[in-house]
Amino acid sequence: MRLTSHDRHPQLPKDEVKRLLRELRETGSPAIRATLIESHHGLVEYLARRFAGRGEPLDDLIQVATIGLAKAVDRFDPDREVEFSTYATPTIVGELKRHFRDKGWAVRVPRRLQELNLRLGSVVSQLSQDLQRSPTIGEIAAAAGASEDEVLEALDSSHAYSLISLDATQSEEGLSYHEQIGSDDEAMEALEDRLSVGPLLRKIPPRERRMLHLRFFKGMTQSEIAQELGISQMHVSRLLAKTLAQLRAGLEDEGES
Amino acid sequence: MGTIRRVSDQITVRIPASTPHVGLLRATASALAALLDFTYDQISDLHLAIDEVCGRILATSNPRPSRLDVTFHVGDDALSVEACGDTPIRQGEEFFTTFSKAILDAVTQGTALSESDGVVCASFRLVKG
Repeated sequence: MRLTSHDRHPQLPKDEVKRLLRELRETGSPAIRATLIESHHGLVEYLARRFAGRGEPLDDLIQVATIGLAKAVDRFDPDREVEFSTYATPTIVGELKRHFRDKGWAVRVPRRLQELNLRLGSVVSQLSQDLQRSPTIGEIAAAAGASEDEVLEALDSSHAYSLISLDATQSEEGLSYHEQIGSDDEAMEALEDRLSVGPLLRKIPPRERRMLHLRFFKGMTQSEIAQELGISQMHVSRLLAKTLAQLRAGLEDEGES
Repeated sequence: MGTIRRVSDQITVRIPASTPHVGLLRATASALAALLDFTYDQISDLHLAIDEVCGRILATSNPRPSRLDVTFHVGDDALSVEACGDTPIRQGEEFFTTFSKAILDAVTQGTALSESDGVVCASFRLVKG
C-alpha cells in the first residue's frame, strides 16, 4: 500500500464501495481492503488538507488520515443505512486530531508566527544559497524583515510538533505503517546490524533513513542534505528531529515489552 | 539581540520531565545560540542533541526522573550544555547507545558523562562554526 499524496486513484461508484465492503467483511481479503483504501484517497487528502498549515507536512497528515480511513474500513458495518464516506469522515478527522494531541501540540501557534514560519522556509533556503553556508538568526531576521526574537519564536513553533514525547509512547503505527523497504544501501545495512535501533530503522521511510545516514554517519550538514535531497533545510531539520523521536519512542516500547 | 555575554554566563533551566516542557529547553537553547551567532544548521543540531541527551536520561533512569536540570554555559564561541535527571541510572545500563553516540558525535564537539550518587549528568559542547 502506498501512502503518498502523489498517487491518483480512481473513485469507485457508491454501489461498488458497498459491494466491496461486504466482500471484505466476508473474505477479509487484503487486496479488497487495499482497493477500498486507495479509492478513498481523495477523501483522505481533502480532510488532511484541512489540518495543513499547523506545522505538519501534508504528506505526514495524509499518512495519519489514511490510518483513520483504514480503521473506518475495518469497522464499517455494510448493513448500516449510512454511506461509507459519511461514516469514515469523523473517524479520519478523529485520527488527525489525535495526532496533533499526541504530539503535545498543546499551544496553538498564532497566525502571525505561522505566516512568518512559512516565509522563513524560503528565506533560509535563499540565504543558504547566497551565502554558501547556513545563515545565522540575525541574517535570517534581516532578510525576512522581522526581529530576531520573532524569527526564534517562529522557528521554535515549527518544531513544536516534532517534539514528540520524550515520555509518550509513540504509537506503534507511527513506525509500522510505513512501507517495509528492501535495502540496497550496503553501508546502511551494515550500520543497522551494529545498532540497537536496527530493526526500527528498517521501518523508517527510505528518505528519512537516508537523511539519518547522511547526517550522522557521513557527517553532511543539514544544508548539504537539503541540497542533495532537493528539499528545504527546515524540512530536513524537522524530519530529522521527528525521526529520532520516533526511534526513541520505539526503543522505549521495546524496552518495556 | 543584546551583546551582554561573558565567559562566565551560565543559565540553568529546571523543567518537569515531560514533553511540553522540553520546548522551553529548545527555546532557551535557540536564544542563547543566536546570541553567539550560531547558524541555523547548528541551532537545529543543538536541538537534536538536547533531545537526545534528555531522551537518554529518561530512558536509562530508574525510577523515572521527576525533573530535568539543564545548564547552558555560554562561552565566547561555544555553548556547553549539561543535562541531569534526579534519579539514578538503571544498574548495568549503558547511558549512550551506539546510535545516540553516533548522533552526538555528529552534531556536537565532545560529550561527557559524570555521575554522583548514581545520578548521571550528560554534557556536550557546540563550537561556533
